[in-house]
Amino acid sequence: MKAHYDEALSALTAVLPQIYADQVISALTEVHGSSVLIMHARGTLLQDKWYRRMLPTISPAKVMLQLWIPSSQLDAALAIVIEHGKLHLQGSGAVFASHCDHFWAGSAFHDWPVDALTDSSIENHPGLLELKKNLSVIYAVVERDQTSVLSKVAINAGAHGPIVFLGEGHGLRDKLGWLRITKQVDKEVMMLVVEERNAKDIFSAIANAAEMHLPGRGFMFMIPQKYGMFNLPSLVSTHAYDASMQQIISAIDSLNGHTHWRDQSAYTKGVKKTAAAKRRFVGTFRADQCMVCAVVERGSTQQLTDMMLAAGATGMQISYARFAANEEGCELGGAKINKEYAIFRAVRDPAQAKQISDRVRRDAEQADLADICMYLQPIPLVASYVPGAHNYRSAPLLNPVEIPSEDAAHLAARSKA
Amino acid sequence: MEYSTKTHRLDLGWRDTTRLLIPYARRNLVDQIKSIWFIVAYLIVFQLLVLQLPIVFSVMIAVGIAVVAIGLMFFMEGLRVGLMPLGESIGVVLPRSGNMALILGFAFLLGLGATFAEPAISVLKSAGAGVKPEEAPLLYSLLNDFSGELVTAVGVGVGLAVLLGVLRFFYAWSLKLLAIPAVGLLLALSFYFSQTSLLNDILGLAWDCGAVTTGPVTVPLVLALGIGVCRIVNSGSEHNAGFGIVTLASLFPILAVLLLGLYHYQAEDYYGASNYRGEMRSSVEDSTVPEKRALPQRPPAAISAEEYTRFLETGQLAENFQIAFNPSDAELVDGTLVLQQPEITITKNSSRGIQLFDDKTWDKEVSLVAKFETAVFEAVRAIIPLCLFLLFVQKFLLKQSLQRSEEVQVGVLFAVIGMSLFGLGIALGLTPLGGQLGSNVPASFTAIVPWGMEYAEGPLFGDGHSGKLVAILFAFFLGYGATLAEPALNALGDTVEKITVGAFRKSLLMQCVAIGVGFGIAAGICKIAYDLPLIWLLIPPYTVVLVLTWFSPEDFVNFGWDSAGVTTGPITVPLVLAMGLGIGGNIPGVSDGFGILALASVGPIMTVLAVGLLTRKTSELDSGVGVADDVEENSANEAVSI
Repeated sequence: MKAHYDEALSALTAVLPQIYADQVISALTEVHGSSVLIMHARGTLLQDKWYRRMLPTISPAKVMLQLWIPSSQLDAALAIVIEHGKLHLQGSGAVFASHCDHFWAGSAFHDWPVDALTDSSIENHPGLLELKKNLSVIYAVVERDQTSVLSKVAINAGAHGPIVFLGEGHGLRDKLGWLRITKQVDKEVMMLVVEERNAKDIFSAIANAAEMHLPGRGFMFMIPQKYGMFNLPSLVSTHAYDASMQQIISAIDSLNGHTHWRDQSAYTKGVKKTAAAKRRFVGTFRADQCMVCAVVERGSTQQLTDMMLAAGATGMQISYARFAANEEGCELGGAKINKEYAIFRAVRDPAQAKQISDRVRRDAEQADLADICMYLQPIPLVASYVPGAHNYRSAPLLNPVEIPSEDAAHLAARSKA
Repeated sequence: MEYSTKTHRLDLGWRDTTRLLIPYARRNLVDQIKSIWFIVAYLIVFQLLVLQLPIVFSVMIAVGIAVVAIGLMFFMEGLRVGLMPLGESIGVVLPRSGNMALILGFAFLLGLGATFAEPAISVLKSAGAGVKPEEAPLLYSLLNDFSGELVTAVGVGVGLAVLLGVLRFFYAWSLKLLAIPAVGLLLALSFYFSQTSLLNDILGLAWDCGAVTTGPVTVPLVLALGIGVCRIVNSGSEHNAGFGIVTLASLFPILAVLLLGLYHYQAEDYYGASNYRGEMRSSVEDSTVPEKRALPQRPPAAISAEEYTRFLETGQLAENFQIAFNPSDAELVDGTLVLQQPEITITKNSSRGIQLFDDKTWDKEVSLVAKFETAVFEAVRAIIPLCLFLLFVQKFLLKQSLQRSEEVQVGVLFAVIGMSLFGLGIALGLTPLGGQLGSNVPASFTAIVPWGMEYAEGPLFGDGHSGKLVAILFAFFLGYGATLAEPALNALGDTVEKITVGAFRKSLLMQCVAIGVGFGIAAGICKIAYDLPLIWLLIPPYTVVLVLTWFSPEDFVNFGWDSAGVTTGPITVPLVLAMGLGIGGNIPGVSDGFGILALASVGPIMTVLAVGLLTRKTSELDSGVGVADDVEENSANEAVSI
């Protein structure tokens, strides 16, 4: 482990349209010693007029940037992203950051120098003022044909249009030998940035629509973020149209300076949940889990998959990203030769996660797998089919949690006011 | 390796294995049935309801179509699991070698080898089956005397195209800047050719070569290779996602064939010219198109004794009787015409009756074993040498081991099985079905003897424009349906969807391309039905395409042009050629079926680019690119006012 990883590290994620992403990448890679992982994603596009729905839709291309940076430099990096990504514009994108626990990296892993970014004062970066706390990011790993339905559910539940990127689902599949070709590896990962107060509602709405209690439907989890901002659209609109509800809401938000006026708990009468619907969520949701996230050079994907499986991870989601850095890469013709990385995400309970991290670290050192890093992040809520329960509709399962109904508490608070 | 997958592989019994395999096979089979049902149902319905002809060899065709579905199931899985990962993995490793000469040499050899592995020359020969040496000597010579040179020229063209296509990824050249001058040059050359009647004959051949060369194995492999290279090469242009090689591989062979034709024209060693070395053959026995002769008419049916007694009793005739009146002697007597001993014969019109299936259910001349052997041979020839070449380069020149080699092996095996079955199924099912329908379609505007039948039928829709219009409409839907079933296009659709992270849906691409091919084939049938000169069908659409290309966003240029190269594959070609030759054989002066495939390639470029231009606005608005400047000003003002 390198010395300065004793310092806390943060994971920063940004979602931007292609053109601004290029500017952000070039701004970031100007910083000495910096590095960033680049992934392609798509935004969601729902047509708001029926006749427009007839036309073919081509979702807007988005770029997702991922970087791991010492927490002390996080503000400065955020400022660069917000400034060059023009994140103050309506519908431009999102950026958020969270803390990494138990971070360790192999010797060949690209590290971010301690003193790369220093200037993070608010005066120089007014964009930082707009950062929100209490954001959560919801990830849903589902089959490829599911995302369009789930996007609608998410938007109806009050979220912005989700960002979707491709991922691979691994786990059981890799134990099947050649029969693994029968299991489609390609999955889509739907990502949503939501405010924490809405997070649980949106989360359960999606879990319900995706039927996460059934086997083979997918997997979703939520990661709370330290802070970030999002400005993502869900509908197409032009100047010729009326302002969308979202635009009006964000205008009122910025006039008020807060979002409390949006609290609708006084007006909703509470969602009726049938006994069956309630029961099927028991066991689907688990609280207080932990995500193991690993980043490894793409060529070693299979090796790390095997190590993770051996260390006790049951399933994992893998996405691939291109690596860009402020360093002399090898060049050929008129082009740079890229490195590629694979990002692994697996969720287990905290003790197991720690154990996986330790075992993989030991194994990686033994196997000379040096271009790797790994960290843990707490996950407050997970939804998936829980294997091992034969009758998953009724049996009580691991750490069952109820989605707490906040209606009653809110109503009480309102009536007092 | 310490952590091999074998250490913790699950031990599955046969029961669990079947539990895994059955849903997997069912899912894939259903997918393939979805892709071919339209063309099959359409052909059958057209034959039965519009042409009202029975289906000949119905059992053989049914078996063939079932085999096509199963073959496609294996082949598409083979592409997904075996061939494409193989191409991509070598594409990833190549640029890391850092040796440009090695990369370009590999690219050239891959293109050259792919052409020899999937030779389109048999297709071209069948298209030119009716070419008479004395009518089109240069074309005849190219197809017969110089067919080896023709394949080599096409191979070199494809090799150079792959080379340039790969080089393009390194230097971030826009496809527009390569395609527009190339097409411009081709159009200019074609125009020059069209002015000389000898050279004009080979225009169709040349343009069809471009469409035919890229086969169902080459396209996915080259596509995957490009994607692999682009994953690693960062030339600063985000639009270079790995497409474009197929485009160049469809344009360069045209140029190569045109130049080859020009060379032989100058050398004067084609059939009948001064330096001709081949054997002159007498044209009478050589001509494959029979002379126009009287078509066998259906003999009248016998009038039964029952009908005779009814006629005697009532003096009434039923509807389908014909009265012939033959006066023997006519005299003019005092201003009156007097007929001596007139003879009136009453014959009964024979009607074929509606029949769904012909009595002949299986073609006796088709030997199942022989067909299967050819299909297996062709599949092995198309797949195995290319895969071995790729593996050899990866193992010994690049010294990299193949990741997930187990899957790739299964995939390549699937591809071979799939392609063999697929080829067999096409020979048994689609070719006879498409062939009989294609040659029957002219019945809509002229009298012909339908395929496999004894007596003449038609014209069903009048012998003028209305009948030809039916044929052209038929051609449109034939092109549409056949394109949806093409395996290479399906692979391209999947790749586009994956590369754009699902933004550009496969179904959207497929529908655009299918409609474009439909228009192209309809135009090709127009060409044949009215004997229009090919050059006037090539120049206007390609000019439109060039203009569209100039204004289109780069990614759509890539998808559109690539899909044009992909469209004409093993399903479309036999169906379209059968129809082209069928119609051409009934139009005086038309002897070959060339040109339809070339027109089928230009259609999809037009539709994809048009859709790109239509939808670009919305996507740009949404991603904030198109309105960025505006919004920026507005929001700046707002910020001040708040």
